[in-house]
Amino acid sequence: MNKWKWSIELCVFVLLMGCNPVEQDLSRIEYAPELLVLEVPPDWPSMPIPSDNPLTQEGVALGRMLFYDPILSLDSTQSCASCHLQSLAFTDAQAQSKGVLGLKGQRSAPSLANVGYYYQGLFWDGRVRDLETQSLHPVRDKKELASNWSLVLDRIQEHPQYPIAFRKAFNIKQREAIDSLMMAKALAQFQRTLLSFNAKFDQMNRGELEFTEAERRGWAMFFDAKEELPHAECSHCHTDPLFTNLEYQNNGIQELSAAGNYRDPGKALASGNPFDSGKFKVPTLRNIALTAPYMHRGQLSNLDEVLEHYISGGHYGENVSANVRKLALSERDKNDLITFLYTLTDSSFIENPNFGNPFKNAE
Amino acid sequence: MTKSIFWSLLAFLMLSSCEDKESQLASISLDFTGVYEDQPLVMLDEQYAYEDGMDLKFQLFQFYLSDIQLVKSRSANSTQDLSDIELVSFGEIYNLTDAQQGISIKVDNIPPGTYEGIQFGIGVSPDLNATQPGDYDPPHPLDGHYWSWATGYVFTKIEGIADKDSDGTFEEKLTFHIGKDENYRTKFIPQTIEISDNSEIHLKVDLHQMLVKANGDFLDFRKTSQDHTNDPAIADFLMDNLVESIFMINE
Repeated sequence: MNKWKWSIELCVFVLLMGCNPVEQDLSRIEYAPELLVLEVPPDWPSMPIPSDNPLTQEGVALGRMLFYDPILSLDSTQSCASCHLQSLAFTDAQAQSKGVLGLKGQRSAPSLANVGYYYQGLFWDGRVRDLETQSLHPVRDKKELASNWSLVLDRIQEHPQYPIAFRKAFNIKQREAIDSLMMAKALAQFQRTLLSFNAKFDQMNRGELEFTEAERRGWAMFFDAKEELPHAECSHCHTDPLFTNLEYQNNGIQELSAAGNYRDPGKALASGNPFDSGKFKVPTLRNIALTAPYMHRGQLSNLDEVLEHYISGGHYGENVSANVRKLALSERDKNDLITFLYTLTDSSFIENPNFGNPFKNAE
Repeated sequence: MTKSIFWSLLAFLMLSSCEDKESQLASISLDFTGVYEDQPLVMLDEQYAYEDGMDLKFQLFQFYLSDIQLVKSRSANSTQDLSDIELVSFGEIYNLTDAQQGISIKVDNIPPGTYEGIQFGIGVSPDLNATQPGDYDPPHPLDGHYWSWATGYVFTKIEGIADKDSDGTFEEKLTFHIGKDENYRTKFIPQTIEISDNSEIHLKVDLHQMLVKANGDFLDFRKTSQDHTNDPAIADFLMDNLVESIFMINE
């Protein structure tokens, strides 16, 4: 009897905790954010961080919760992490991801490695200028989380934990002060911490280990660094250390229609400039071995296909980058290039516990 | 009391004097216009007649200028710094209006007066070429266009397409990227410049003149369509020509 009584009391306690009324006056909770300084290699550029959204431990922690919480989707089934899996360098192995309504997205989910550096626009077509703006889009996109801010804010404001976390991160006094912009700021803060700089390539640069012969040959061809080896022309766009120059290029992956149009105009949709048609953001090659399928629509299944595409010079188009040109690479050259690309895999990035699901331990 | 008024007056006069001096400094602009002979330089939307029956379209033309200075007195080696480094890029110019407007670089706090001319380095000066993108907070002219394997910046890029057989298809891709310290050049334009507030210094760059030397020698795209500073002769040809391709067009 006592045992049952104890169990019932525990259940009531847990239920009450679950229904804990949201704190109305949040100002009683201490607001003392701790600034977070990103640790990046000394030879890396500074990350541009907006002055009105400095990184704090509290903001990053909140952003991480939001990133992994399906509460942002219409039916609470998907979160940002559904299409951006840490184990795949924050991609999802899909050519086009499906949102909560079962609709396929137009393009492939890009890697978020070092995304905080992307100061020349985000998304494949560069349609938004910064992470704060970007973070607002997937929530309302019918092909992604398909929700609306009214619904999301209701859930967040009534949540037992989020108002407190927003108080600690953004100094709100009442839960009603939580808005979409604040959520976007938190998501942006978390994403700015997603740094990947500890691949074998980096360790080689730091003198901690040496490349194999195949990796060294691949490196030299990638960077067009040796006259005696073929030039693979990769590093015109995939410049280190980010392995993207952050620009938008047409790499000839799409074929022009008879009318001279591209199925997906890419950057031209955002810029309105017809000469941007078919251009897409140059993706980072960091962790590239983990982020198949490749290209903006996942057109290419593996790295062999990617190399074959570039060897062919791609489809004709006047704005196809002049750096995308027919290549003469032997089987050995191709293998060595791919071997080099594997040195860009950063296991410490995909295993970093600070980037993982914060709710996992709570399950 | 009298002493206090005296010191207050003195401080006021000193501050006013500083303010006057500050306000006398000029804000000016360096304006660059790209041309191909007598045609405005426009990316992709215009095609240009080249040597030997070839036609060209351009996707990118850019170059760095270093240590840009107004020369107050060449004999006295007296100069006024305008900028350590600028990237002059015509890569986003896609129509005639933008081409005519050109690229404008604003410079503040320049003492007004008469200058004997303007001088600059073409490329990235050796000091800056020893730095790397990580040394700069983006956006910065030196946050890209860098060859890590060669530890240096790409001084100039010409990228485009060529129609070699006049069939309307621009099948040949052209990429010329020149860097390395030995290809750095300097130029002095001896032309009187009067500087006052909102003065504009107009510089014209002729891409045709960079590809075709005054004696008629030209980069033959039937033989070479690409160089990444592999061939010293091509690097010399392009950089020497670039020096001759930049003019001041101030009246």
